[in-house]
Amino acid sequence: MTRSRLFDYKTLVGTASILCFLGLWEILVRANVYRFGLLPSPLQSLQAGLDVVTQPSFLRDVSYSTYRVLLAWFMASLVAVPLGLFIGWNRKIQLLLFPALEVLRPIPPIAWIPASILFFPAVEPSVVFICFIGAFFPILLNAKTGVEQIDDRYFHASRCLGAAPWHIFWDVVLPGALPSVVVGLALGMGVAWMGVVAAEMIAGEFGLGYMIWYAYALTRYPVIVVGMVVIAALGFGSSALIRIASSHLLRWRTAGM
Amino acid sequence: MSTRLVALLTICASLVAVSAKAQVVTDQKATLVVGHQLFTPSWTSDVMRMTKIYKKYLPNVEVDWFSGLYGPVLVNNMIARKVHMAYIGDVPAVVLASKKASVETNFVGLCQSDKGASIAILVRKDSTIQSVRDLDGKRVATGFGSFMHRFLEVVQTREKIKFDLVNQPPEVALTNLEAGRIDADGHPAPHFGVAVHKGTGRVLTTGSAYDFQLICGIVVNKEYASQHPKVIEGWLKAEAEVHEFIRSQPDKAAELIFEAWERKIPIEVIRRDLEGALYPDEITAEHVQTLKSASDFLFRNKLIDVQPDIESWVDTRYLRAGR
Repeated sequence: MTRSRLFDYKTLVGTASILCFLGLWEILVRANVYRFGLLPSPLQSLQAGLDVVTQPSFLRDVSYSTYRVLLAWFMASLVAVPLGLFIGWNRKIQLLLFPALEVLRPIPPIAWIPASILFFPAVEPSVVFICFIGAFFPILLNAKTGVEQIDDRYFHASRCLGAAPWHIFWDVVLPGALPSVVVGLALGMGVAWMGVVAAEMIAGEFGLGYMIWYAYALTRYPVIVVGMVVIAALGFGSSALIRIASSHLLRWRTAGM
Repeated sequence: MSTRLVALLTICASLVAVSAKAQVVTDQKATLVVGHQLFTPSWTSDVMRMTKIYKKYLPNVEVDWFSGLYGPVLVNNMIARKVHMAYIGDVPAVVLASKKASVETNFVGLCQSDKGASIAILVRKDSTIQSVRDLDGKRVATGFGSFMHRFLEVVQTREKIKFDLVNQPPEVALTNLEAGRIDADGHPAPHFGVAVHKGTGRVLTTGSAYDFQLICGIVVNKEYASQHPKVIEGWLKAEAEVHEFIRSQPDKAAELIFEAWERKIPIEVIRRDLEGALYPDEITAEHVQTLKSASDFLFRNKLIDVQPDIESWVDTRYLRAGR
């Protein structure tokens, strides 16, 4: 990051906004406004954070959660992107598959826990499955919507020019839906991280979600805040990485403007 | 609701009405939020909920029942001051006592105690594990920071074995046990009884084999209790009456609990669990020692940062006043 980028207006305002939020939180806790006194303050959480991150278990928890979420997201992307594109592109496939998927979509990931425990032969697939379910539907829907938003004239033109279905998919469907697919991938990553707390209840050991749940059982509230902040940072970071990576894929959009 | 239950509740209501005036501890108007657990034995709270015996002593007290899945849910809600009184196991109760800086509480009465009859280590029915020693190095699930966790430590020490412990709530652990992900499960009644009744589990050992003392008590918010001492006194008198009801009419009590749980727990399981427990009306030195053991266990395992002063936390004045 260059010096000018580091100190640009947007960065400074963003940093000031976060600092104001933390300052307000600290004041509300210390002054015990409403019920804020029951919550840990940022300074208490920072102290707990320093204690937590210096423990070897912390790195293990971060590694486990990151591995589970990334694996779930990768698998969800692998299935949901092509499926979403085909559902959006082909009316028959849409009629065949979409109603069933729409029925399953509102079921929250946590409700899948009993089924996932029974269905999968080991603990890890069960945990990954809960995160997978969280990531799957945003990716699927965005891929589908991305195709539906492509101007019909592109399809007509390519057909008139004698393009084969494969060429239409490669040159119209995929690039046309890509911006929406990227949004879905970033959203899916976020939801996969949201599911990790519920998912790691199954495991009974390791992971940031487990760390939060365990801290709740022992009323260690600053540790809960630490877990929340770390999950937020990892979720934000991984979504940002997707956006950065995708900006290379979508260079043609800005180039063409 | 069955006709039999209606008749039973009518009898209870009549008993309450007949002796009402003579027994009133206070006619003060107050709201009392009582937390009770769904997944740990606090059967007396179920009987109290169904019969409303407290109305005899506290006619103007409105009771809001707060159902928590496990002890930690009640502990957190006590800290959040949403619950004034909680029926809670010894270990989570001590966790709450250790949070004196967040909320001041007192241990004022007992709802149940036993020598381990209400806890068990469960294995799959078809498991090759035949003795506790076979569990050495095996994966055992329990709720960390519960009296089952404390019990499993006792078992490991006594048998000179080491479990691979995992922290899972009962509903997750029992499903994992059925699916073969864990070798054994350590959760209290009624869970193991239900699994045995369903034919999916087999009891490997109970707490009785280790003479393991556990208690389930009544913890109150200190501020609420100081503002409403007569409410706490009246409640404990009602609790003693519930104890007597269970001791003298266990079958009727079992039916009430069966209905309180919307018939989801087999009545045979409830009957057996009720028989295995004691319902003490007084807090004795032995009970205080159990709380101290729970405190030592939590501190030794770094599950609490400070050990509470159990002697001053246990407050028997409301029980004494009610005599």
